[in-house]
Amino acid sequence: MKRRDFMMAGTVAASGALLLQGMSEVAHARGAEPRRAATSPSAQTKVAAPGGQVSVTTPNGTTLPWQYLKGVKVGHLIAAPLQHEFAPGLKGECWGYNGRTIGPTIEAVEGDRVRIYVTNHLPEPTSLHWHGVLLPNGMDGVAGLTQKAIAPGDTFKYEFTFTRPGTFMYHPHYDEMTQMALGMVGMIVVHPRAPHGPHVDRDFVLMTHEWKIRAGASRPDPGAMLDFNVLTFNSKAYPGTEPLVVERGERVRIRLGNLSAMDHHPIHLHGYYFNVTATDGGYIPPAGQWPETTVLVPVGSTRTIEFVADVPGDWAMHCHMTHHVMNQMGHDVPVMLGADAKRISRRVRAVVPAYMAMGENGMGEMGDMGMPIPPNSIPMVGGKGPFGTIDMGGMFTILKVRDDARSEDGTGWHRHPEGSVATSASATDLAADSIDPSRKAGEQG
Amino acid sequence: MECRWVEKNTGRVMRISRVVRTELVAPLSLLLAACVSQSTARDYGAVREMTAARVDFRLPEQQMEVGRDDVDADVRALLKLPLTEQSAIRIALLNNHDLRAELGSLGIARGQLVQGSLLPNPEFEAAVLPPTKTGNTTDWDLGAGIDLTSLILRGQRSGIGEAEVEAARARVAAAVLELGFHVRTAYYSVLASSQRLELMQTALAAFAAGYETARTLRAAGNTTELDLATERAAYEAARVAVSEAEADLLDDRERLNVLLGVHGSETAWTVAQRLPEIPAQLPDQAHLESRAIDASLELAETRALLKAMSRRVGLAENSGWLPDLSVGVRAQRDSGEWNVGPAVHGTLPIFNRQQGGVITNQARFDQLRDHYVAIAVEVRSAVRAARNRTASAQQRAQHYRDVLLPARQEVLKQATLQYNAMQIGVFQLLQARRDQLDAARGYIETLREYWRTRAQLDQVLAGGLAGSVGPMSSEQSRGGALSSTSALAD
Ligand SMILES: [Cu+2]
Repeated sequence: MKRRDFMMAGTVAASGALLLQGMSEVAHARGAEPRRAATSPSAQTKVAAPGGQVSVTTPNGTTLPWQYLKGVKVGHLIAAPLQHEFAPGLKGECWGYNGRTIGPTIEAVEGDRVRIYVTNHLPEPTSLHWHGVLLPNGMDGVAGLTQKAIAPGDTFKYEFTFTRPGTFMYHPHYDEMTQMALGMVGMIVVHPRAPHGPHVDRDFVLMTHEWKIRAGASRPDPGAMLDFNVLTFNSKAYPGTEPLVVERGERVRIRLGNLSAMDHHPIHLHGYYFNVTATDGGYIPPAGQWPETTVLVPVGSTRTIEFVADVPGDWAMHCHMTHHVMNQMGHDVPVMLGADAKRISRRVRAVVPAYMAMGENGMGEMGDMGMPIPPNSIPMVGGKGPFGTIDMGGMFTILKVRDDARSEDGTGWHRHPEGSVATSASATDLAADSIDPSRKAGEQG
Repeated sequence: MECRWVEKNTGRVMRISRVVRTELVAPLSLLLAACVSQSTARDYGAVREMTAARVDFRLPEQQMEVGRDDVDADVRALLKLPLTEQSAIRIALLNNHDLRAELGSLGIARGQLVQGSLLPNPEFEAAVLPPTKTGNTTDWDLGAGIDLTSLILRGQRSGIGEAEVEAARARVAAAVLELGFHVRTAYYSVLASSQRLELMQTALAAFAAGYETARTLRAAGNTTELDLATERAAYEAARVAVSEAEADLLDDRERLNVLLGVHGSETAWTVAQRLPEIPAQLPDQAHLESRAIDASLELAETRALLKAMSRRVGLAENSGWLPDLSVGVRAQRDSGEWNVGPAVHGTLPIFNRQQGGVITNQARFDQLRDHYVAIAVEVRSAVRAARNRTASAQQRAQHYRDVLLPARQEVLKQATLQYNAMQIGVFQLLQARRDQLDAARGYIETLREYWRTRAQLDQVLAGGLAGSVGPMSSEQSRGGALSSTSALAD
């Protein structure tokens, strides 16, 4: 273990212990029991704020531990390089906070006084900007404008009070292009002193982000402007994303943030409509909330949605830009669709025997072809689903709504009631409904 | 000398030598011819040994003669098998008529030696004076003699002839080596050109694949006329390049055909070998210059010519001081009485003592001596140049084999992975394959250069002439051979 890692681990362990002490009085308010998956209700055992407001869950992530010192919550963020796994088979040389990207979620309550130390173990200066948080100008973290940059090896102290509740973000305001492209982003959740609206049982944060990592490379390209090929929720690309496990009937809140370089993300949830209840500007009064099935999360913004998970199932949740649910897709290859692959193969294999024609019938089966690909790349691969390959990647995750969430460790699949799954139509069905599959498209009225 | 003597007696002397010769000399000349043919066989054997000591091929045991069917059969048998470097050299030694013509110069030198060593013919004179009114006896005047000067100088003349035979042997041996060298390089060129053609045909197949892909994609509506036209143009250009490579191979085969002395259906020979890999070690580098000087047949020839020339100077000097003398007997029958007595006949070396001949031959000797030094300088340079070129080609070929070819192979492998990952398209994959083929072609050209320069080095060290040194023509060296060896040093 490197000295730096050791120091960091020590810090986290020490403050973790204090955290447990500090939280003991509010813990167990809802009497939950320990369970396995991080996103399963077991992680939701803590109450974070008055009125039974549950603490947030960061799938594939963690929450920043506090020390309570004379009425001030004290935290420590260490900016440093790290190796991050986006999905099984793809690791990246990234930068982040406390050994991870996304950085730990900062969770506080309206009115909390916080003191956050930021140590720079990067090879270049940095700063920390508290995106959306109202604070004294000198704490805003814009290097050169409101403070000096934090030199490598230096530690800066930020101290302010969270005067407004809401969902915010943090990121550097020095060489943002590089530092954010490499993963230096995090979420901030400030609970209100008194809860807004109906009681929420499950509170998730999902930070959307985009990266460019050439297939076989491991360093995200900070210069990328258009051809991003790794799209993430909390810095994980499907099948690396941890599912959101909730119990049937629970009210679910999902706080979405976007610190992508260049793209807004229309995040679509299957199976439900939801209300947009807040932006990073604050809580939207009930009269102003509107129902949606897709919420556009613009760059540099947060959107909070709420719904009641009353229909069990495995519900997809993803960005609706089709290229944002692909992994390391190449964008500059000839279109093969509809071409006579045999003609091409015969000629090409004469000179490149390893050649296999691909894509002439579409790309749906690419994840299953199993051809050798560059090490440390996950082009096209999907996840394994109960009915075959889920040929999705990138900004894709699954909301798993269970009758008994405690029985779900995140790897299980919904048990469908008899007759409720679409299947190949039987001859009897076809005859009964006068459906003739041999009719050509276009002949029908 | 003889001529002058005869001229003086013209009018008085009736010559009968022609009559005598046909009857007396015919059997003699047969004997002489047998001796001469034995000597030329000895010359041929000497050349055979000189070459065998220098190179790894041998002249046939018997000197070739025109129209020998057994030789033709040997050649035909060799031509039926795929040619190897050794069999090509054997065929050329059997069948190359330039070499046979060169071997003929052994006979020329030998003939000159024989001619110079011949005994002077005896001189003979007879006159009959019929009876006159005053005297009624028939008078006889008979004389016989021999050219003494010619006899005395005979040894010196054959000394010149012997030195010239020695020179001819060295010259002919050099011609044998040179033929072997040319066959070797021509053979390597055929191998290189045929391997190059194969590579270009494979490259053509890669272009054809690109063109076919573009046509297929165009038919599916997936690509533009521009892309199709671009692929087609590249394919058609590759066809032209293959055609050029075919012509190059035919040229190289023709060069070898000439050296092999074959024509018609005999030119349908095939080759089975590929260009050999580069040996790990260069030939022994020690004392290159002195070894080349010691072995040089051109220097050996020039030394023999110098010997001959110094003997010519001696001959000119001696013949200048010696009076032209014939000695013999003379018998006269005058008025019925025979009178016999010794006779001597000659000129006095008072004015013409061959002074001009001496000066000329002395100047020729000096000229040859300078020529000798000049040749030695050239031989030393040739061996250094051949060594440098061989070392450079070896380094480049090793770099190709150990670094560049594996690097190109890796590019293709990685391109395949990237293709599988759909990061690049089939056209880029084909381009990676063609780049690999280009590198392979560069390697072949470098191998060709190595074996050519290596043959030059072997040739100079064996004592032969290796033609000009220096880089190959731009035609031969194209294909991406690296020009700087220092860039490869690390
Ligand atoms: Cu998106």
